Amino acid sequence: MEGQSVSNDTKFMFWNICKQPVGSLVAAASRQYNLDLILLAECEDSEAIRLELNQSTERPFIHRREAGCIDVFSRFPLGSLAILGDYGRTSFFHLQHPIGKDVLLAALHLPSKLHMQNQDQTLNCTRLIEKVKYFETKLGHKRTVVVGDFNINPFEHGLIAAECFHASLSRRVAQRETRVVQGNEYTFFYNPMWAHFGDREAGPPGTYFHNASSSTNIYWNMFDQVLIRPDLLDRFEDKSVQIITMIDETDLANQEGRPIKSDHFPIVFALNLMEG
Amino acid sequence: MAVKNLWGELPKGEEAGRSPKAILQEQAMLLSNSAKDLLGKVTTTRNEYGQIEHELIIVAPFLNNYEVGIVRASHGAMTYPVSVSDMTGSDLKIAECPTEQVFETVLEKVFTSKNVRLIISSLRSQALKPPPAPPTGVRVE
Repeated sequence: MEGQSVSNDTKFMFWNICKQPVGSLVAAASRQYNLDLILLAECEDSEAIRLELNQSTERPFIHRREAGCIDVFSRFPLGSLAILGDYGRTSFFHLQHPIGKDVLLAALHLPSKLHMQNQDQTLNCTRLIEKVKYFETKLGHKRTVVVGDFNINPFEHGLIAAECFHASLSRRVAQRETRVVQGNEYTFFYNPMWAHFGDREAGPPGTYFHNASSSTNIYWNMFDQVLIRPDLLDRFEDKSVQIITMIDETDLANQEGRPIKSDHFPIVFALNLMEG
Repeated sequence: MAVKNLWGELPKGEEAGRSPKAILQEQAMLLSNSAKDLLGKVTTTRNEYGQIEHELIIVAPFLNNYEVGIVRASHGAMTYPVSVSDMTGSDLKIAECPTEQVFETVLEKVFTSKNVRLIISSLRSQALKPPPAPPTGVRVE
């Protein structure tokens, strides 16, 4: 049932593919999950992926990338996905659903801990949130999604601090919309990825495995995340978020459950952007 | 009793040379003037660590004001040293410039880099050009 949307949901996938030739897997994922928008980091051959994606579909994908580092493949009509700006490793898009609500979509691949100290990662997040606010003001709404490889975990300052992404692990808290800290008002994000940490969920304990020699080592990291603004929460269900470890018959994990096709697992999620 | 001036003649600011912001603004203006289809702009913010950050951004008006960040310069209360990040690549700090001259050298390196050349040429190639005027005497239906 390829390409036939069985719901009103707009389905997204983000995957840091680590420069691997995974076009056939991306194409298989697009069929399996009825994806509408695919965002790839570290994609070296976007044309090969576009060809794989469009091999047998009635709804072809259009490739978008200007000066940013995220390759986007969209099934929306040409003109429905405008690139607003590229700033280093973050790109901002205006997704205008043909018959639904428009959203601000920020896609990113932030510098890794190998190249940036923790406090610089935090500082980087304060810059990004200023850009988010800039485009929210420009578009006149806060229906915003931020997705990508943050290279920091959901519990780190860059994601939780009010001056940064201010991303709460609780939908109920995020639904308060804003919080005043020392006289300044900060809007929340909701970060559904917290619920996927560890062994309780059926999926893997994180999206990225790293065995460090330092005394503090959590092994599994949740670097790949999606953050949702409160104004979109009634269009988003937690259960739509999945960390993908299997595409068709292909296992993306080795026997220890760690990612093998890339060093990250993909994540998928959905938003119901339809009007009414 | 008149207060005795212990400050002497106060420096006017010229001794400190041109600030990184002034240099970036000059370059943004230069870009706007030489490439009529592109605009250069400089944004300034103060980050959470009290550093002042300036970003030089290219705006393409014919692409719905699409923006692309080129370079970020950060400094404290003292304008130098200023650290520079290349926003078109890794977005990591590429240089710490102790003086205005070094800052200009680093900027030149970024502005003439392959990445920036590619960005400018591909943006300019998309600029809407008016269709050529029909030859005189030809009736246009």
